[in-house]
This record gives sequence, C-alpha cells and structure tokens, in this order.
Amino acid sequence: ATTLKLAHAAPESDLQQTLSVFFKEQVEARSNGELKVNIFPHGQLGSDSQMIDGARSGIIDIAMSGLNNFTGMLPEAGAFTLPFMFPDRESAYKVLDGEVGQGVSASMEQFGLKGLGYPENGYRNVSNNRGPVTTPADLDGVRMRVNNSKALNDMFDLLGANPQQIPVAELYTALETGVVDAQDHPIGVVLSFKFYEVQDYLTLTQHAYAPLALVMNLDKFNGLSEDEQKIITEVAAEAVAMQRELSIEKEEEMIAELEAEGMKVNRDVDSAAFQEAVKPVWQNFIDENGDALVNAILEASK
Amino acid sequence: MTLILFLTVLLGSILLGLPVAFALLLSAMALMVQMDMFSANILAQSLLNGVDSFPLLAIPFFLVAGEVMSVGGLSTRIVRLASALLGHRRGGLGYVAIFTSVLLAGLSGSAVADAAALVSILYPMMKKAGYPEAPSMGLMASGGIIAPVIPPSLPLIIMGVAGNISIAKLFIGGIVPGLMMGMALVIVWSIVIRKEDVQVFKKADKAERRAAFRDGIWALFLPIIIIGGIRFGIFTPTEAAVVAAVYAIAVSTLVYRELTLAKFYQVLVSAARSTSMVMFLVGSAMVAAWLITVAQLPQQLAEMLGPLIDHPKLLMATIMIIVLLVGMVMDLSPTILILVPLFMPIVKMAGIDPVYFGLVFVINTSIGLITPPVGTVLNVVCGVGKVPMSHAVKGLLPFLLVYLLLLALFVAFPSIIIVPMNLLIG
Amino acid sequence: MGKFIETFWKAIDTVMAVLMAAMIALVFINVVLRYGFHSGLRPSVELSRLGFVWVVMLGSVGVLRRGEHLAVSEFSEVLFPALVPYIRKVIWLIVLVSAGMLFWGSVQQTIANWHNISQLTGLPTGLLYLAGVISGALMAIVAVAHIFGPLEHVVRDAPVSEGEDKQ
Ligand code: NA
Ligand code: NA
Repeated sequence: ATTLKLAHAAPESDLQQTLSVFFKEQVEARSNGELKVNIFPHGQLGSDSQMIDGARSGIIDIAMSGLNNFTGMLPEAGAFTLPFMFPDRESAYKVLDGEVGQGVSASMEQFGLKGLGYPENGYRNVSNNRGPVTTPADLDGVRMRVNNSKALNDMFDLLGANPQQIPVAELYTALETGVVDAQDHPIGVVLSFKFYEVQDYLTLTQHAYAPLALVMNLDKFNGLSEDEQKIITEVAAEAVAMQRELSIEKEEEMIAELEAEGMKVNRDVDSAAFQEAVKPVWQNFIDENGDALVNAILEASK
Repeated sequence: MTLILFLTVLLGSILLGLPVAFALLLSAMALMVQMDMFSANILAQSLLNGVDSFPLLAIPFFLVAGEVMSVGGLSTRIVRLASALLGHRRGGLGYVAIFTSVLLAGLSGSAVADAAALVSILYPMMKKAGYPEAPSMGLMASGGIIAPVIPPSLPLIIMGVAGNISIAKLFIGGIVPGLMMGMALVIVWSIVIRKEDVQVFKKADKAERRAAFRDGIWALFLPIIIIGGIRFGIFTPTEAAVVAAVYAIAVSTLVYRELTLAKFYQVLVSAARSTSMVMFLVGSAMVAAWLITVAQLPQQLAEMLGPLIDHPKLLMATIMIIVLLVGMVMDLSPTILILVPLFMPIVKMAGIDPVYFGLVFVINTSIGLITPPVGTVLNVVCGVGKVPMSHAVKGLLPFLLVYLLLLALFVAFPSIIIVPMNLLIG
Repeated sequence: MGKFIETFWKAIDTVMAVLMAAMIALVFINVVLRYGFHSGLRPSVELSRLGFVWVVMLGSVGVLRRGEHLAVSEFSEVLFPALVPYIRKVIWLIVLVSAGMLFWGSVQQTIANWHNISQLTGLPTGLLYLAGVISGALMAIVAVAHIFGPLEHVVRDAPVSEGEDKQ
C-alpha cells in the first residue's frame, strides 16, 4: 500500500480539515486500502512556503495552501486574488473550474506539481478597532496588517492605510497591544485565530476572493496506477465541491458567532467607491504580468 | 518503538560527545531510514525554514543589546548603583548581587552573560571583604538564572516559537515568578550569611547615592522601554529587541562615550556567532521535529502519558521531573526544542494553560543551567571565578533547594503565576 | 595558503557584521516610520529574515571550525579517554554526512526556487536555500580537514571556553 502525507496550515476546526478527512476516508475506501492518507494539519509539516516546497520535492505528497502562495512561481495567478476580481462566488467557481483554472493547473506541472482543484477560504474582509468601514475614507490612516501579496499592499496603500508586515502567528498579540489596529482575512481565520477578542468591528468588504489550491507531487501522481489516479482526481473534485458548499453554508453561521462574541458586523459597504479607488492596482498588475489572464477571467465570468 | 529508537540515537550520540545539533540531525536521519524516506531535501528544507523565522530575529538583537551594555559601561553602572544602595548591610554584597541579578535580568536575555558579568565584577569585591567562597559562588550562579525568566529572554522567545505560544504573554508572565526567585534568594542568603564574619561597607551618603543613581538611570530606562513598549503596542517583541539594541548603542556612545567603532564591530561578530550557535540548533531541532511529526511520536508519548490527562497537576509534575532530569545533562535551548513539541499536544489536551506551562518549563530548564554534571552557568561561574566545580556545588545547594521548592509551588498552585499574569496583561 | 584562509574567515566575519548592522537598521527604521511617518518599508521583514538566515548559516561554519557547538564531552572523556580520539573521527564523519546532506538538499532547492520570486522584495526565494549551499559546502570542508588531520587527544583541565552556550 502507498501512504500519502497530506499537509495544510489550518487548525483542525477549519473546513480544510473537513476536506482532508473526506479525502482520506474516500480515497482509502475506494482504493480498498491500497492508498492510505495521513493528515498533518495546523502547519505541522511547515509554513505555507515550506509545504509547497515540500510537495514540489516530494517529501510531502499533497499540500493545501492559499493560491496567493503560488504566485512567486506563477505571478499571473495573482489575477485571481486581485481586489474585486470576482463579484460573486459562482463566477469564481466557473473560472477556476473552467479553462482558465485548468491552464493554471497545467503550468503548475513545470514546477513539479499536479493541481487537484481549488477549494476556498472565502472572501477576505476587513476588521478593525476604529469603526465600520463604509467608504474608502474609513481606512485612512489605519495601521493595518497586510499579508505578502503585492496587490493587497498596493490596495491598502492607495486607500490611505498604513500596511505593516506582521507574521500571522504574532498578529493576535499585535492587535491586542495595538501595534496594528486592523487586519484583513477570510471569516474562518478571524474565528479560529480568535481575532474577535481583540477587534471590535468586522466589515464585509469582500475585497478579495481567496482560493486555495490542492496540489500533489507530480512524480508521485504519475507513479500511481491509472485506477488510483482516477480515484485521487475524482475524490479531490468531490472534496472541493463539498468544501465550497460547506464554506457558503458556514459563513453566515460564523458571522453570527462573531456577532455573539461581541463583534459589530457591518454589511453597508460602498463597493463601487472601493472598486474605483483601487483601479490602479489592476493597472499595476497588468503592467507587470500582462492582461491575458485578467481578460480571460473577465471573459469567462460573464 | 520508534520513540525508543529516536531517544537512543539522540542520547547515545550526545553522551559520546557529538554536538547536540548534529545529534539531532543524526537521530532525524535514523528516523528517515526507519521510515524508508531518506532525503537530503527534508534536512535542507526543514533546517533553513526553521531558521527563517521573524520572531527568532529577536535573538541576535537582544544579544547585541546585552553585549553593548557590557562593553559600553551600562552593566558596571548597574553594579555601582546596587552597591551604593545595599553595600552597607550585613552580607550586603550578597544583596547587591541579588539586586543586580534582577536588574540585569530586566536588561538582558542571557543567563550566561549575566552570571559572567556578576562574577567578574562582584566576586573580587566579595573575596576581598572576606565573604565565604562557596556560598558566594552559589549565589552568583543562582542569580544568573533569573535572566531567562524576567523579560527580555531568549529562552522565552524559543519557547514561544517551539510551543506556538504568545511571546508577549510569556514576557509579561515572567515578571512575577522572576521577582519571586530573587526574593527566595534574599531569604536563603540572609540565613546562609548569618554566622559568617564579613566586612561591612561604609554607608554611601546621599550625594554618592544620587550620583550613582544619576549615572545608572540610563540603564534603568531600558527595561521600562522594553516592557512598556510591548505592553502598550509601540512595537512587537521582535522589534523591542532592535529598539533595545539601538538604545544601548545610543547611550554607550552618546552618554557614556565608551563604545568605539572597533568594539561595536566585535560586538556584532560575537553576537552573530552566539546567534548562529543557538539558531543552528533551532534549525536542527526543526529537522528532528519534522520527522517526529511524520513518525507520529507525540501520539506514542500521549499514549504513555494518556492516563494522566485527567489529572493536569500530576501530568505537570511528571513532565517537570522529566525536564529536571534532562536538564541535569542537557542545555536549556535543546531541552526546550526537543521536549516542547513532544509534550505540547498532551498539555493542551489536559487543559493546562500554555503560557503557564511555557513559563514553568523555562524556569525548570533554567535551573538545569546550574545543576551538575552539565550546567553552562555553573561552568561559566566556576571558570570566571577560578573555583573548582565541586566547591561551587556545595555552596549552591541551599539556593538550588529553594528554587526546587518554588518550582513545586508553581506546579501545585498554578494561580501563583496565572493570576498576576492576567492582571498585568489586563 | 594559510594567510589566504585567514583572510577568507575574516571576510566572512565582516559579511556577518554588515548583515547584522543592516538588519538592525531595517527593523528600527520600520518602527520609526510606522509611528513617526505613518508608513513602512514593505520589504523590511522579508529582507531582515533573509539576512538572518545568511548570518546564521555563515556563522554556523565559524562555530563548527572553532569547536563551539554545544556538546557534552565530559562523559566520554572521563569514561574512556583513550577512545576519544577515534570517537572524534566518527563525530567528524557524522558532521560530514550532515553537511553533505545540507549541501545537496539546498542545491536542489536553490535551483527549484530560482524562478520563485518574492512579491515584496523581487528577489528569488532560492536565495534562502543558497545560504545552505555555501554553509553545507564550507562545513563539509572543515569536516574533511579534521577527518584526515592528526588524532585529537583529550587535554585534561582545559580552560572553560568563552564561546560556550550564551543563553
Ligand atoms: Na531577562
Ligand atoms: Na544541568
């Protein structure tokens, strides 16, 4: 029997673990135990970049990580996480599962990875301690933690916030003591990292869609029998579909939970004003990476 | 079974004299062979990604701050201030040593550096004043290990990373137990010194005290900057280390004018070397940790300790006895790096507060720095003071006993640590 | 030749000192900018982490060369001092294998990540692993020199070395 190591960075309460458990159970059942899957959640096998490096070199077999963590190799894939790229989830699914997404999966192969599908972390939203964020001016002068995406740094810079680099592991403390007053993450992260304890306001800005990528070491995949490959790809597709469904279902539940924890949730966002304000971010991206993928996404999501 | 293989290779090669970092790599290789996944990629990736950590950047910065303080004249002034305040009491130089230990602990993160500073500055004075050799040595050594408990602290930083615990909370939580360690030393010293005939210094007059205070005030600002800056969100613990370094550089060049460019270069090189030693160990431990995880050793350990999960205090006591035994032969950072990832899952399952666990663990491993046969602080104190180890150990015993008593109290009554910590965090 | 080697190690010390000073400057300036000027240096965190990795990997070679890695030599020296010179050969052999693995794994990762470009610094993430290539190669050379060098006998009552663990 072949044992596969599946790694992700989310805690066991997260849907990434739900997906992993489903994947494990189904793969093991349908292969009659010929394939075994061991799950390593919570970054046990390393940070996102370490997991991706591990899946490429084959010391990890399957890894799940934010698509933005692949943009060092595939800069054009940053198009998926551009601010306000996907107005709704349906268009995101359509693009990611269609030709455009297949194209990205195909270019992963030159880096030793087999793309198995795109689960999601949902939309990123802004939380802070100052007040609801209705218009771009509400972010002016806020010290804000931003991840390593250039587009998001550019975006919050444009909106007048003061983007700061702080590792996620230190973010709770930084928010608690006030080193920064704001951050942006998908809802699930706000809940599992308990940011609601140190943040008063959550605004559903939905400013960027956050796809995950489920990838497998290419050699390992090619080394499996045809039947086993089929099991892996089929189960992966089912797992992704299930995770997305749960993600939508769970989002309202999680928002309610955050409200129960005392967060004031604001849904009144002037999206048009935000989209107008961050236009230069798209232009920057197109200047650096060309407009092919952006146009393809816009075309496909029509 | 795999657990036994891992521990045998690790401990066996350490006892043969293989540097601990390479012993970790060797036991990682043993696990690779056992699981049939021998790969240079595992070693290189885990080692380099283990070193590539922003929180651990605080290590070189706090080391720079500490070394600048000793070559830039801040440490000497702290001793002078303590002498002016306490030198006239019976056994006064001992109290000076304790007071200085606590102050230095608030300035530096390194027990070895603090103990070395204490011995080299205070011990000659104590010898001249007729203080008994062994208890004085014991006091210096046990004063030195307050440094890792009171922030800033390199071991607390390593604990935060190894156990995924908030470093800021560990820092704030260390203040009260650190002060309690100082108080315990005061009590033991007053008993030990009662029957000894030692010279008492003339009381410093008001002018002298004021001069010492004015001169030392710059150094005293440093702990306030570090703790206040973290508590009030001016900077993260990592950035605090840089601010401390810049502050120490500024004071010793602009105020004391004792830091030259040549000295500063030496400080940077020496801090870089000490950092490398600690961090190569961290990287190697990450390689071992990666394989420990894949081999599912924590689950094996959890099975063994499983029955204790419903009795957190008993579990805590068991772990602390293991740590104490390991600490006799192993240094502080490898003990943290090897044992914390193994114990953390069970500790969490038992509902023990991770910050409390991290603090007691670090206090315990700090005690290991002065327990024979292998104790780095003990070695340094004996080396700098030129006293045989057996002699110093005799003088150390009463202090060691009171520390163990304190440790037992922390295990029996966790609220001693948790209540003041929550008050300070607010 | 000896002089060249001396100069080489000194040059490495200088590189480490410069990197250390640069890291202090980067992080400090970022704090000042955040509070004084409502801005920040976007690449400062990543750059200082990269500098840190290089300092550690270069420094580890120096630590190995000077025999300052934390080790417990007391047991073997007391229990079987006559065997210690041979045990030390074995120890250097283990160091050689470890350094060789570090080197080889890092070479593969450097190549794999040379076109993996960080968004915030514009630098290849392969630079992280390149530190392992250099460090692994230099450590292997140090180890080979000891393996083929003379037997190292136990010296009694060696003075406590300054460079021991600095917690
Ligand atoms: Na300290
Ligand atoms: Na010890």
